[in-house]
Amino acid sequence: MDTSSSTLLRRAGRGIWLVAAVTALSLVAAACGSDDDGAPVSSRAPASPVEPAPPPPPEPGDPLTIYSGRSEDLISPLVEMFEETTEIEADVRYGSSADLALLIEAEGDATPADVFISQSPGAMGYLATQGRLRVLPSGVLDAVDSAYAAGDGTWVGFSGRQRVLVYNPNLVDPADLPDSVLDLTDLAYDGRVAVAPANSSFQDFITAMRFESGDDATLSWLEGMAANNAPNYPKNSAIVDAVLRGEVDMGLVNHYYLLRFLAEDPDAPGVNHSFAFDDIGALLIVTTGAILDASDQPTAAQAFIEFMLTRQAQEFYASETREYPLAAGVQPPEGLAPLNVADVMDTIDFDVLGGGLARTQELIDQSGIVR
Amino acid sequence: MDAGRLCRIWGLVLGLFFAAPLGYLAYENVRLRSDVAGILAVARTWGPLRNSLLLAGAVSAAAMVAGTAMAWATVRLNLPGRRFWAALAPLPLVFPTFVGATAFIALLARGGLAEQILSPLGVGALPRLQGFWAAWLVLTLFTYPYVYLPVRARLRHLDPVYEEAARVLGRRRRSVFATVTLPATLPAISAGGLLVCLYVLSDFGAVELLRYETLTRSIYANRLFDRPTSVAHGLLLGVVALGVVGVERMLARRRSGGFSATSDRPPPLTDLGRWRWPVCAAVVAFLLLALAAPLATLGYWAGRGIANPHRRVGAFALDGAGIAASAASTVVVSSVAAVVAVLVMLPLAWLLVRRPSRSASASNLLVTAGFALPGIVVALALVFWTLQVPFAAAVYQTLPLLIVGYLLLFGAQAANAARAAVGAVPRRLSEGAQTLGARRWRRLRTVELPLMTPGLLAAGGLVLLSVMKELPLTLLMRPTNLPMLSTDIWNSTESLFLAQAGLESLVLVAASGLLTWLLVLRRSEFA
Amino acid sequence: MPNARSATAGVPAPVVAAPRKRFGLSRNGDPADRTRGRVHAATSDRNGFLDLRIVGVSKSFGETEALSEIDLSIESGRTVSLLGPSGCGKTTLMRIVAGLEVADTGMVYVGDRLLAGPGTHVAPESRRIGLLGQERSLFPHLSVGANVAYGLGRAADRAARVAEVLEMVDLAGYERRMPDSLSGGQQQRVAIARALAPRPRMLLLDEPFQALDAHLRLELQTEVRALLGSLGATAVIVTHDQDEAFVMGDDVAVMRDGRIRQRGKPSEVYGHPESPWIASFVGDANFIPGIGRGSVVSTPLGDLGTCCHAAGKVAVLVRPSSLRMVEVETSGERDTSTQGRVESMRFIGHATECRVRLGDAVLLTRSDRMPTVRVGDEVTLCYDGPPAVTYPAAAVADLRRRGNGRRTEPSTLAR
Repeated sequence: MDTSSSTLLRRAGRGIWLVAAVTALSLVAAACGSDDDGAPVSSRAPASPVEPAPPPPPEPGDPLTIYSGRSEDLISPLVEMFEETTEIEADVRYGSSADLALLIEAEGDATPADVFISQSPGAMGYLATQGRLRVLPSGVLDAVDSAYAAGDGTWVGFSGRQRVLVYNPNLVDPADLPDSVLDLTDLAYDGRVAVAPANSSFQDFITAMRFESGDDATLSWLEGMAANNAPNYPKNSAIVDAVLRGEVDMGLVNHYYLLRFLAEDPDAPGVNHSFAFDDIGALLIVTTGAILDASDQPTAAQAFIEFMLTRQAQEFYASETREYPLAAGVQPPEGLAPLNVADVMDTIDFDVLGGGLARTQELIDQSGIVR
Repeated sequence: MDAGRLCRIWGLVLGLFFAAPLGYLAYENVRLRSDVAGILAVARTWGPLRNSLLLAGAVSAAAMVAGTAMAWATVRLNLPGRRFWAALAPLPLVFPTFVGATAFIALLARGGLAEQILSPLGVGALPRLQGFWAAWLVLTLFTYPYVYLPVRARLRHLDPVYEEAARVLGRRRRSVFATVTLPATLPAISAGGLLVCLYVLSDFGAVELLRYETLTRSIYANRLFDRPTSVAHGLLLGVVALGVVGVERMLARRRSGGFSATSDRPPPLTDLGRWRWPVCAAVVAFLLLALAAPLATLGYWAGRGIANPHRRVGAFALDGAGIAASAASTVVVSSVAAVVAVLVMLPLAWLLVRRPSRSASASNLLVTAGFALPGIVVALALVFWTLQVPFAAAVYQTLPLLIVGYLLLFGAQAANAARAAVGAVPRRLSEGAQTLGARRWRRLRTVELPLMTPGLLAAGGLVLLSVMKELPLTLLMRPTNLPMLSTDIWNSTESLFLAQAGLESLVLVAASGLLTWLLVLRRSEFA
Repeated sequence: MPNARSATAGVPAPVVAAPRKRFGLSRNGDPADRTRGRVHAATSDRNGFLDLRIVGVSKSFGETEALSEIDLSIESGRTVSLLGPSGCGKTTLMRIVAGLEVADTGMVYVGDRLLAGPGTHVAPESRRIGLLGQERSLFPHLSVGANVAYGLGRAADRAARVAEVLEMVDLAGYERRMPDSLSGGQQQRVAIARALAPRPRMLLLDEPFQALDAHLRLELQTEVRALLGSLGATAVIVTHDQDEAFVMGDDVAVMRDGRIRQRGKPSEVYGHPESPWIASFVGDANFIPGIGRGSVVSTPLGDLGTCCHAAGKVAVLVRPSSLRMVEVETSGERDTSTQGRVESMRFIGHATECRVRLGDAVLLTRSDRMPTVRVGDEVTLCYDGPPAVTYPAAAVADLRRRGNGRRTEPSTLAR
């Protein structure tokens, strides 16, 4: 750890802010690292973060190519850390997860990409069903709870964002908030709960609900929300923005948008309400990574996946992107309840979330919630 | 080989090239065994199709009215400061619609900037910006320059002799406008309207954010999880675009052109008398809505971020050097793309004007219709066809291929404007040069190019602006690590770094405004 | 030919539908028809043409004075050619009359009606003035018929009037054609018909034949001249071509630098130009020095009779056609002769021009006879013209210094 931070300092010209942040993080990581030495590793899922492996010999030729469905601001600091630690050069192409998945499909065997990072399990699932992903070694898969890795071992989760109900405390009494997302069809919430039916997180959530409760129950919930005049927004951030401005009382979103708004304006009136742990409304949506079948640098690609599961990277999620780190033993972001790997999570196979999205969209269309 | 035949061959090559996205869509439909007939027969198709046509029609109509009115007002009326307004008027074109729509939503939303400004005046809650009328408004405001620019050029160079003749023959101004000015300007209006229509068909940013269910939105929404529907809808959109272009061409053929529009005489100004200030106020109000409103929101975001830098965690601080680097490479790439597009399209434009033929028209149909296809479809088509070629990996995701992609997307704009440029060269003049013994290339260099320059600059300017704000193709096809403003803005908005997004958008607007001014407007229209 | 217009204003005109005048060079009309046309055209006072009066009109564009204190009157039924080099302000004057420009000062009347003056500016559409411009101004999106009918408003007899004026310009039956399917000459005929259709009070023809080739121009000049005469039209024809000015105008008004310099019959203007500049602008001119002695002037060509009193050092205008060349062997027959050498010759067909060096000057001669001399021959020059016009010598020096407009002749004799 010390060597890595001194390496960082040697190359301080690359961007003073980045280096400062990364140095700080690696120092923190180094300090924590001594505390957590020898953390127990359970035989089952909740494993420890992957220990940084000795850098594999860089493969000759092109740099490692990563297609990232996560935005640059969230990934590039991690890639820099990776480059520092492993001395493997990496190029990243950013885009929406779905577009990149389509691109990889179109590129076929000629794809320059070695690693794919997907914001939504759906896009990753799409590539998995196309047989475009390589099976990861069990050592990598074991770093996270098995709920957060593909059943067939083709992808692994890096971080998670929880579905929550964001509300404006000036407009809503916290006592009125339900424990289950299913209760939002109650008349008490008529016209008060914003949704983003076109957003992939919402669709992932609906797919999970289908998986748990069946299509009929899901459709009737959607219809209930439609009957309750749930206002539509294009995406999560728009809902949070609207709630903070008082345009709408509350909305179904991912947890971290509010945290980012608060980072810009700490006085903004917004609170995240988490549903009960066993409620489908509290679904955790994971950001996942995989190595492409056609990768010509599988070793370096694996090094990157492993790096993303190290304590250093995982703590970056917690502190910077305000997401839940998935590798066990890393603390969740400040102010968030620890992630409880509840039973319900074990039972949801994220692969299905991908393949079944077409039907999900049909249900959403059919329910009339889109207005 | 003589130049005419070279041009004809080039025209055919271009036609094939621009058929590539449609070919790709057709291939995908077959490969995925999409039940095209079945998909097209259901309501999930008819609704978006109807909405697409409705929106494209309504926006085109409004943009034709607004663009013509703005052009006419700034060319022909003695408005105070009309050159200034004229220079501002094309600028709304530089807003990527996803930025513009976001800015408008934020501006008008409850608690937004507009409410903060208006609530002390007793204005209550503003209507929420969404649905058909919202998309109509935003798209009209951001696309009317497609009409404004050609109509302005037309009005400036239209020989005043026609309108003078009409007045001396006893017609009042209004009647002269309706019976002479408008018919003389119609080719420009309709060419601009066609671009607007196709742009609206292709647009995803605005309809997505303002939530209006069009074909393009359906292509995007289904692109991953319902590929058959997505590609079938893509093909449908392509067919619709071909139809729209075909109809426009047919109507255009029925109108005989022939108005001399190469006048150097300054266009006559109409003295508005006591209406001078009210009309000026209307022009300014429109520009406020189209330009100042989104700029205000972007400025507000940027300002808020700059004023409170401590609220950002280190890694996300405003990155001035990064923005400058992106701006520089954006300017270079889009300029190169603009030059390439004009050079590539010029022979086709020449062919269409001087040697009209069925094959040239067919090529033009394909070129123009390509403008209606969403960027993601074109990008994937480009990937598909590129990788059919052996050793394509050498150019894949490099600058040349990116430029080819831009050409595929925006060739229509270049061809459209270049056609007007070629039309501005009186045939007699090049024949005159020919009798003076000037060879083909010398004629081109000494006579035709100088005359075409304003039109070609306008063509390049349109491509330049479009490339600067292009997103989907840029994201997928740019060389790795090539910083571009549009992708930066997208990254920042995706990550909710509004201050950064605001600043980057302002830089984009400023850079495109400056470039348009320097390269296009100063030399052609405002000199 | 005597003017056929009816001078008997009180006599009721024969009742005919309209003047049916074939163009002079009728293509498809039979001679009888032509004759009838002339007879009918003789009744054209009904066409309502009025006189034009321009009083003290001035106009400046920024610092440049385009027109200064222009006075010009045209009687009803007369045609005046406004002749001047480009940039002299003639087009500006026409645009002021048509209402397309606003004069800084001065007044424009048509008949008794004040069209432009202090505080008055009648809009162009209300002036009832026909304008025929130099550019092709036909509306390309309208058929010939619609073009001609354009100025007719909603009149009930539109179609009849269109047919009538189209026939006047020899284009009967062309209503459905589109302008771009017509030749340049036909297009200009349509433009004339369009200008005539609304029965204007007067016509302005601004370089109407400039865009046409020489042959067509001559043809149309003759035809339009005849048409205007037969209609009894009040018209101004703006031109920079003195031949056209002389052919078309009852009167010629010569303009220069925003002023009218001379107004008179074509023969007056050509024969008695009021200044050396006008003399050389309206035709080729030699100026030779002379000493005036009342009605006689002594020149290198001998003593010449003058039209007006001349005294002291003068410049004498000698038109090339007034110079006769005699081969030197046969010379000596007249006293008013001088020897020179032929420097160059130009055979034009109907005439031959020679440049003859006389001392240190070169004189231009023109003769309609076949040349009998060759370059290099010694010749004797004889003056064989009307009584000579003289100018103060300083005026010619001034002309040389400033340039003399369009026709710069090297023949001006300086000694």
